[in-house]
Amino acid sequence: MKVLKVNPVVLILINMLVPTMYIFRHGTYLQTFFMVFCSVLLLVTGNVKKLVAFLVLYGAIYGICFAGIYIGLLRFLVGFFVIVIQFVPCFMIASIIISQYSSTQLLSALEAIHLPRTLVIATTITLKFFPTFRREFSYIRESMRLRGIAFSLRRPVESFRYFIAPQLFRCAALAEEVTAAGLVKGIDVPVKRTSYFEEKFRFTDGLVLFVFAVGIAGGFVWNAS
Amino acid sequence: MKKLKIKDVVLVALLTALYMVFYMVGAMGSMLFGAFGHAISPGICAFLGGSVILFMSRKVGRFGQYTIMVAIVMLLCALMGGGYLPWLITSMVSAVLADLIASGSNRTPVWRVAVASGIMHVGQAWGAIIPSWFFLEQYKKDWIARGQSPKEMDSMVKATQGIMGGLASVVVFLLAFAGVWLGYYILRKHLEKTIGSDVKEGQGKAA
Repeated sequence: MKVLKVNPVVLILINMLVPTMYIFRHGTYLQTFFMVFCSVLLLVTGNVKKLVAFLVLYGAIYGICFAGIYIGLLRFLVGFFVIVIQFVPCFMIASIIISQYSSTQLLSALEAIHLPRTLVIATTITLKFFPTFRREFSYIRESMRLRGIAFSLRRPVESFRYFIAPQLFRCAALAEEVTAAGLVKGIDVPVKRTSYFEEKFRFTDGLVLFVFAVGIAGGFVWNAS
Repeated sequence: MKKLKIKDVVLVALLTALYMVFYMVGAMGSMLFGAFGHAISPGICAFLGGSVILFMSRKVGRFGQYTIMVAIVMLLCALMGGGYLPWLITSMVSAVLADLIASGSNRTPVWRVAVASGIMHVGQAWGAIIPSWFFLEQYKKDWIARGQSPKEMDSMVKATQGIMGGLASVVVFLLAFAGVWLGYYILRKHLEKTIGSDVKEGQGKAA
């Protein structure tokens, strides 16, 4: 099946607009529309597994919010999850941005928004580093297992040290590697950067934005009626 | 004042990713303490992330490190749908202050790093406290519009208004201060080794 490739600028724009829209219009319509819209987006971009995971997450959060009405113990969680549930569509789009685009593509997309270059580079690196954490953590656990050391709640500071110290020094080592790679690619050259992946605005991007705009307009009509 | 190099920006970015993991854990953990927990959630994050802050000050130690870290957090939160203007303003202002206090070198005394971390995180807490002090109606309207129930919002305002807001600020500062000292306790041996070797390496190059 052919998957749709959306311009990352369009995805970033949508992700910034979704929470902003809640300020103007709220309620079931907008929440449902964003969820359906982002689910379809995940589907057409070929992220079926992610879609299933997010639907399960959405269902679980919805369940907690619903249970919180009847179970006093869960009530303190409801205030938090009622906000989190609105961000699930944003997380869906963020997952596409992180997994489907390389750092170079993200750099080009963020530069198109005319953000400061340092911030663009830093944000791109941070975004791409998140998926690495699980792998790094598994290396740490494996090393600890080989040395016969275990995380223990009885020694919280020691356990925390076993987690944090290798992570921090790994970050320092990675920074050297990433910087070297970046310098080779001319990251510090003070000229306007061009990109091999320079994404053009295609018909499908316009269509995605059009559907999004129609859906939001529908929300205003819904509220007015 | 030393300017940030590309290598420093990269390291700050990677450390921010680690810091944001604590940010999420802090936000989740703060739920256990209800509305007041929400008000002090930057402190919980600061307590856990104190090691990251100290490590950054030792490995980077240049003006702009805290500002870039907070700017990345704010930009990512905006991309994920959690942006809020007053929070952005108070966080950025406090990050610049933190830079002024503790970004002179990579040998800044630990207490100054702890004060800088305290101020930086109090600034983040003020993103909720200041609106509830000065723009109460708008603040409530904004968050109710984002799906928060009026009842929850009232309890949140109670936890950030008046003396409770002041108390939350003090708690956040103390947690952040303690977090950096915890980081120092955990990392001191490692840092002595690495910074010592960095200095020797630098002297070798100079010679």
